[in-house]
Amino acid sequence: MAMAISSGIERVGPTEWVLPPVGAMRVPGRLFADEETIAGLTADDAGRSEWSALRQIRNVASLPGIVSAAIALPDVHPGYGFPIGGVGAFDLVEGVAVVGGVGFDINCGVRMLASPLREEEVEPFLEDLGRDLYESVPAGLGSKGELRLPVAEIDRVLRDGAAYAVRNGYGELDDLAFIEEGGVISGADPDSVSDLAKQRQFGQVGTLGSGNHYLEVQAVDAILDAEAAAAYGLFGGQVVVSIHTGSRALGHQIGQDYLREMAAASRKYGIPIPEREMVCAPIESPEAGRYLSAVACGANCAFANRQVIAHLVRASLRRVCGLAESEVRTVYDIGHNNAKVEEHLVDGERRRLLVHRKGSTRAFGPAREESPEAYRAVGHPTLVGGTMGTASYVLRGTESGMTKTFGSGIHGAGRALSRKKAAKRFWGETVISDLASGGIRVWAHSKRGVAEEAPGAYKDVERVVGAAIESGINSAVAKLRPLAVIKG
Amino acid sequence: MNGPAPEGVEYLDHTADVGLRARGTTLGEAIEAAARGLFALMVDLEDVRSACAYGVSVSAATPEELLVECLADLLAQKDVSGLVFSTFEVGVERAEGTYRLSGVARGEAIDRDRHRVGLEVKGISYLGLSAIEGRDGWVLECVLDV
Repeated sequence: MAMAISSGIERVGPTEWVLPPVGAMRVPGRLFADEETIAGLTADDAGRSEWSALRQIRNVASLPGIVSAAIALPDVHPGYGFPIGGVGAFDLVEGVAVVGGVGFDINCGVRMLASPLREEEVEPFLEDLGRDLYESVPAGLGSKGELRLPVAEIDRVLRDGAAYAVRNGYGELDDLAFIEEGGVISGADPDSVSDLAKQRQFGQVGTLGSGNHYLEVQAVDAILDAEAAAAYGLFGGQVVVSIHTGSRALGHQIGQDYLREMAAASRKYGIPIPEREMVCAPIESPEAGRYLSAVACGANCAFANRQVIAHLVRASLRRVCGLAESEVRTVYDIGHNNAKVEEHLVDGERRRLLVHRKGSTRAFGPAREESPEAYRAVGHPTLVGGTMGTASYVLRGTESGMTKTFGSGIHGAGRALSRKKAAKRFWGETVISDLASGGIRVWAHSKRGVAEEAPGAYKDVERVVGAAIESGINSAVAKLRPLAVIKG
Repeated sequence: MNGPAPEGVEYLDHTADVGLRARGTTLGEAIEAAARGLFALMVDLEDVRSACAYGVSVSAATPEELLVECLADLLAQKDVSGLVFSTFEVGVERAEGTYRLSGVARGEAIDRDRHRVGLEVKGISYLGLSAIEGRDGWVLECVLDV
């Protein structure tokens, strides 16, 4: 029997909850999370309501053309308009494209590279490798990428994504097959992106950024699904490198520009907007067409960015560990802030939908043609970042997740403490020395950033991953342990 | 936020990002404080010399939107010109239902050998955005995406 606890939320399974439609809600909210997360959400809901993820889920559920439910995943927390860890799928005729469903850092995501080396083979070089990565991968405020592109070249990046980078000598042709959408999203017209956005990107292709972005050398700590791990080429003790970054200043400016443009569109089409970041336009309208084209441009920029950084990582592994570039394979590259048209089975009917994922990763189960051929039998990997001091995970999609969450999965641990509280509670140098005593080396351009990103500022990733697995939306493939961390 | 919050600025709790509250006797002074609050997250303002000036000129239908437009314009200069700013002098006029801000921001190019860098702000959100005029002047609030 369903049990109501508060905020009208009802428990329908150990890690499944429903917000029944009330007021303007067209569909229910559907949450996948453990009891502790739900308790936190309901407490927030009773407090300052504009920073409440539950309120944001209700708002998403109230948008025109939303299909089935507004979905929240186990790493849910308040975002801008959409909650982080939020998924919203919209009918292509009646639905809307929503700026808050993508956010400022368009196609922020993770690239994972696999080396053929074992942890014990890298250990003697780890200090040198971390130092080399810190010095060779531009990161943090004021860093500049090695590519300096005039606007005409930026347009090519926006159209061609990771393929642009490969064409210009950054990375391997084989990489493209192992990037979501082959590293380039079609329909990207650079004219939909402002000159200011392009100017801001001038020196930023191939830069990591700061905040929660990172570069991590990791060891495969445990294989949890032998068949999928074999398909992905992962083995116990293997050294891998994960790159977490996005579309940098270009994506940020696209977000800023379209918050303004889509506000006018919302008024024009008479769509009530409960929060400014929920500004939207009918998917078939010219305004939404331009916005989705700009999102594709931002996504392609992010793919190119991670492709260039992957090249820099390979160069570092060559210099320090003597590995040839071709020995360092792309396992997968996947974003977690995007809106894309996908086909899904809804109540027995195949439908094409615009799926927004804000702080959530596409997690397609087996037999989807979007997955690389080598991964199709098991579904493609989803890459879940932990914190500097805790595990990251390689998960995969499931058949159950295809129907429950439109094939979506978690993207990280999710913050538990505000940056202000974290900076009061932790001290950058202490965090770095504590991690060092646990065998994790950290190189950071901003000590303040380290304090704010301290492992204690995040939810327990094990709890978040556990809820994703228990609810059946994702399945665990491998657990990764950080060895060396580079932060902006 | 490398050091204490600049004068007229208070940082607010927000789970993933940074809330900003800025006060000023006039709307222009409150926006100047907000701009100090924005750049103080990224660099220590006392390390930033007034070596060059950037003329800022934006307009908006409401004081809240004027705040976002001004901060977003200054933030974009960080990437376009590589500048960070520490002092701001702006004035706001209202004519025919539009708020117009013009003034100057002074600063210099980011120098990572001399500037202690902090967070990189991505964008100026509209979450919790407010601009309230009271007896003691203006109080502005917004959330910065970092």
